[in-house]
Amino acid sequence: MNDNDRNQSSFEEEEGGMDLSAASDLEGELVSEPWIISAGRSFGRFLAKIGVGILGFLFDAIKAVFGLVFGIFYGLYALFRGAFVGLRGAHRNFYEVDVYGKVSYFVMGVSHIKSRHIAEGVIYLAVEIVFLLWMGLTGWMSIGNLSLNDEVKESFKNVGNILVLVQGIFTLIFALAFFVFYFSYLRAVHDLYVIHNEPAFKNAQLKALYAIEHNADFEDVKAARTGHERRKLLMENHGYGVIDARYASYLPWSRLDPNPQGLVGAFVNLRRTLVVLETKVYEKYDALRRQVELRLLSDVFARFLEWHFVPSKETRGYSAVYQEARTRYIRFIHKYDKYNDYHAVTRDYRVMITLLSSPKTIADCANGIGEGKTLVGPDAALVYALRDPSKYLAAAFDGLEGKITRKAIDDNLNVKVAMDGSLRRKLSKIFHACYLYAGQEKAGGEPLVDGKINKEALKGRPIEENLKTYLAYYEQRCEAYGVKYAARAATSVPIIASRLIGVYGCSYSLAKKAARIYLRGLKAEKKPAQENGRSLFYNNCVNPFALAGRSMNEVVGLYRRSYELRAAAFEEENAARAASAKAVSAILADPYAYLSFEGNENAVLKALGTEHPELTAYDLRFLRKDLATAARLGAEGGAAYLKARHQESLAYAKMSEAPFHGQANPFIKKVKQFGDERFAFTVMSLPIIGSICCSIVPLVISILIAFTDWAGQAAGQRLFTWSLSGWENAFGLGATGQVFFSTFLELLTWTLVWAVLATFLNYIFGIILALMINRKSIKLKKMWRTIFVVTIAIPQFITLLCMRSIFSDNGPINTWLLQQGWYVDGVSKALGMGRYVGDDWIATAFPFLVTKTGSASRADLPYTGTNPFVLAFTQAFWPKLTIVLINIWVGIPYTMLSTSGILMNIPDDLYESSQIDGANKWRQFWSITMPYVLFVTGPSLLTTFIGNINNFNVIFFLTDGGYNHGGMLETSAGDTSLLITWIYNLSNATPPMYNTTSILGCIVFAICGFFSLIVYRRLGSVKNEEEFQ
Amino acid sequence: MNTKRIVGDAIIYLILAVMSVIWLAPIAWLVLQSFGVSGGQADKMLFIPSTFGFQNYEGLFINKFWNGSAFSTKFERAYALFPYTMPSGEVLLGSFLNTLIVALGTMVLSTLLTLMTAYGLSRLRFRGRQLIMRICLIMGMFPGFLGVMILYWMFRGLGVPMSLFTLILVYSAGAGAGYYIAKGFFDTISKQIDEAAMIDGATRFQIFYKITLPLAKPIVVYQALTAFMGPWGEYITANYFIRGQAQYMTVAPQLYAIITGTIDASDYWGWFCAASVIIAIPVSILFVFMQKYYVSGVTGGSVKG
Repeated sequence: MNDNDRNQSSFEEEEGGMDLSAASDLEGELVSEPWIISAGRSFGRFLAKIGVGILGFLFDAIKAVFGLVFGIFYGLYALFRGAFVGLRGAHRNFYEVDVYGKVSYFVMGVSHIKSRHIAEGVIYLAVEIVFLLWMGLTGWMSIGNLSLNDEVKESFKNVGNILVLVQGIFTLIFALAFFVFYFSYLRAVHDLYVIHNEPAFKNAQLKALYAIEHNADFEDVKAARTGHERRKLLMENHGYGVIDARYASYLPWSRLDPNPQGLVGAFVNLRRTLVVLETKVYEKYDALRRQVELRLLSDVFARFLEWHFVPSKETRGYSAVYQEARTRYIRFIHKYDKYNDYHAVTRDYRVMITLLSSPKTIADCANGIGEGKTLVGPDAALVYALRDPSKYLAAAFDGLEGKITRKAIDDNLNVKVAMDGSLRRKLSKIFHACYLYAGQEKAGGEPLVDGKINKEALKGRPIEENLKTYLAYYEQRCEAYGVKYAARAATSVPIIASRLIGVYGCSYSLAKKAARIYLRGLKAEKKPAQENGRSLFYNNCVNPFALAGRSMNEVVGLYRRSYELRAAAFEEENAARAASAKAVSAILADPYAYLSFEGNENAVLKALGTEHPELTAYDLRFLRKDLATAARLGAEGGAAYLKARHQESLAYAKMSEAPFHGQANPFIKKVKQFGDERFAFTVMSLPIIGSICCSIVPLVISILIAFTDWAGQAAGQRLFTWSLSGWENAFGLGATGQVFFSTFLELLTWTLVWAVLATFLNYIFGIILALMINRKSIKLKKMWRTIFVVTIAIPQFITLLCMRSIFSDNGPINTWLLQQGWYVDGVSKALGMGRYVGDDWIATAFPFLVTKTGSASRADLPYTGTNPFVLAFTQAFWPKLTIVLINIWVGIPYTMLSTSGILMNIPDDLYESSQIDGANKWRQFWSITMPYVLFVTGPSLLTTFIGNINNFNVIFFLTDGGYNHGGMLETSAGDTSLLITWIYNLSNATPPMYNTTSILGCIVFAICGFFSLIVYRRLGSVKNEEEFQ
Repeated sequence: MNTKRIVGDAIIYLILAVMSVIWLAPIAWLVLQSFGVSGGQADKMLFIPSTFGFQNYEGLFINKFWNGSAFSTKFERAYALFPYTMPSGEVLLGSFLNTLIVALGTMVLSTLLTLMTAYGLSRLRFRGRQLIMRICLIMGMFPGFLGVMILYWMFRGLGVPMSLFTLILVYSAGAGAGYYIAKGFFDTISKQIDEAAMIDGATRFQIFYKITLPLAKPIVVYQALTAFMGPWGEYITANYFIRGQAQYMTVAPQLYAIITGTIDASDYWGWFCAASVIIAIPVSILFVFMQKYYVSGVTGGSVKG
């Protein structure tokens, strides 16, 4: 053994010892037995586990279910299916294919890479792989933990212990995330539903279902060999949509009974149920949303799980329902986004064209011509808005009919004027104020004093006057800004933009865009003129490379042209879509004309194409499908079906007036969002991850450990079992339990006494000290303050250890007392100062602090006398008193420092007026100073109190928790121990009592929670957080 | 009236003077003791040491015990305050530098995390915000020591090597939960400034970086100061994480071990005093000079609860 080893061995002693005991544990289990006994034993262990730890069993079971379902089944299943779909190129609808939840990120990854969104694709793939690994591992390890198989369990022995808990907790977090995602989908769907829930559409859908149900003839589908073929048949011959066909094709067709009561019938019925269910959910959305959602979720989810474990004929269909529901939700969300995009784009184009049609106006805005001032910011915008009241006021108050509420004004501004949000809010506030003041009694006075609005004086004046006052006010502010920003004004995008917002009421992003274009023109002018052969427009957009050397007006004109072109193209496309939708519905309105379709599809389609030039190839493809279905289904059913399809297409045509032309969100834009719209994510993610990993998970584990048998064994080296043995040891009826419980009660009492004393004495004395130093006539305030600050500037453990030495048995104080002869004359003996062995008094030292490891100034034998001082001493009264006093020494400067500022803020009038009323200083302190300081520092007082309950440092550094006098005191506790010090000692004892420490920790938490709850219920500042801002 | 005030003043001056003596005497004693020559228990009994000298300080720097006779390997390894080369050739940083490294790392990391959390919770509105605040509140009531214990076993289980960096990580990872004071301060900064900046085209990141942070300078300094001072007096976590690895010893467990006689306290008393003075000097100077920020941080942040 070399030097290093020897040095370290003392530190690792206890761990080494535990390793050995773990090894012997293992050997005991591995003794060979007849198989029947070992089987019975493992069965018994299994039963015992269920019996002892229902908690543990649930925990493991949930882990196993989630791990296996998601990891092995869903993960691998989706991986292969996803790979198949993705590689075959059918990934266009990958969102719709994504019935396996986020597990099929694989598909999304592949398709993203295919469409050259490489970064996103790689991220999706990586996420998928990590997810699969995690879930697979969880499931696998959970099997081991369920004790179903001892061999498996054995193989995890070395990686078990706390890590099992860590993993379990993370699995639960994943499971929670799954539910959260699910609910967020539901919410998004509702929004969509409001937009696109057309009764006609729903009726058409129901009728189509009816037609299919009564004409179910799926022999051809049943005969098909591959899923792909089946899907094709369903789509082309039976009128299924792409998605429906996809899911229907997954059904077990070989065992299919094609009558309406069979599986196909069940599928159709379930689809109908789903439509009805959806309707019901959303009709009562406002009142019952949550309940219905919950019921729907639990219902569908339960069946979804059931389906996987009991794959019977009846339950299979539910999975389809679940899948269909998910698909629908995702599709809705997709369309919703596109719909919004479309509106935003068209509106943007129109406003942009108007703006750019006169580049001079932008130049005016930039240069401030005609205003004579350089204005910037929201104030400038307000000046413009207030200067032209005809434009805004008329718009805002038209049709208000006397209802001058903020909301009404807001709504009207919203509808009539396209304006920036915060500007609108401010404007409506001003208007509202003006109207309110106009109706009140006249107050008089100057409306504008020292550059600020005097609201009192506004009362009773005409509205126009008040508006002018506000205008003057904002103009003043703008002038102040203007001086500062004059130099920047002409070439700054934000400044031009803010003026555009003010003058034209255009949206912020547009104003910025226009300003950029204008500035680009300015810059282009500066470059040497050159003839470049580049085309001016590329895909209706301005080619920036062709701009060099052109004049400003020309550049702006080019942009205007580009926006006109783009708007026109947009309109054209829009019109074309509407026309083709109408044409489709016209054709389907008279399907009999095309019933001779069979056999000569191509000819018919060609004829249709010539007849209706507005039909696109896409439409023709679907018409082919519909007509083929009609031909196949025969006259009656076909008619019903086609009528339904017709109505459906009418509904679509109606919707197609706002076709979905969205652009994918580019990756770089998404990244930029993290600096703006999604800044909360950027800011919060790191602290949250840190807290979860290093605070929350350990805390949860330590709560769980209270229910294990992790005590005394090789800590962390083996798997523990769920058990209540910790609780039994701590609070059971046996001897250990009794000692433990009495110790607990004693320490709890002392902890509470200590916390109250430490908190309130420090608080009051600190305030008194601050008052003394802050007294007006006291000189050298800074010096006094610094003297006290020095003591808290020194690290606390140094001052505490220093105090410990001063008050120790051979410290200066006891030495001095000894020199003065205190320990030999009768006084100190009468007072019980010194050491007792039995009833015999021995002069040594006064027990200021009695430490655990220091010399025992404590009676070695029980004292049986009646001297009250000695009795107090055996009850650790003196050490406790010393600790409280030292804590005052340590704590007062903190209070003094933090309350000084608050005390200076108390208005002097309060003291003066109370003095006149005859209050003395004492009265002033309790009736003015204390309430004021309490109001401000009340919440922090609670934090201090809880901090003192858990004040490890003071007690530990002064006394190590104190001397243990035996009796009903647990060996690891001492006279002056707090609960937290005891916890520390227990966890450092040999063997460490981890489960007991966790139990005590939970109790401390309960105490702190109890006090916090009481205080927070009375604190307004917590409830009305927003009002304080 | 006037005489009454003069009498009052006199009483207060008297009280303040007495209190000053009480507050300064222990510190003066510690400083005097560090200059004592006998080094062991003998001087500890006196207020003023019998003879003065610099042996204790020399002992710190050359890392040999002052009288040379009680030279102990264990002492060297675990209780070096300054960099020292072991007989085996291994160079130890010593607890002072260890603590300095940990304190600086913690200062940077945990200040960043705290400010980010506080800004997010004060200025931005997002889903789950209330939940996060509630969880932080509840977390604060658990004795933090339990978490540290579990974290230690977690790190052991995962095979994370114990080092100064681990200590930094443990100190700062959960710092976001202590956002209260910084959030209170951010709440007092007017939101209208943000709105104006937004109209001028600033993104939220720019608002945070260019507007809010400069305005919140006191709270930034306050957070950095408290984060820096934390590791200097922190005992439990350091003790738990570095046991068995004395080369990562920090000052608090080291001085505690000396005074409680894990090694022979009676011989090392002078060493302890000198080490305390050396450790206290930089931290105390920093605190006294940054006092202004400390006060404005505490009062500014706590005004709104």
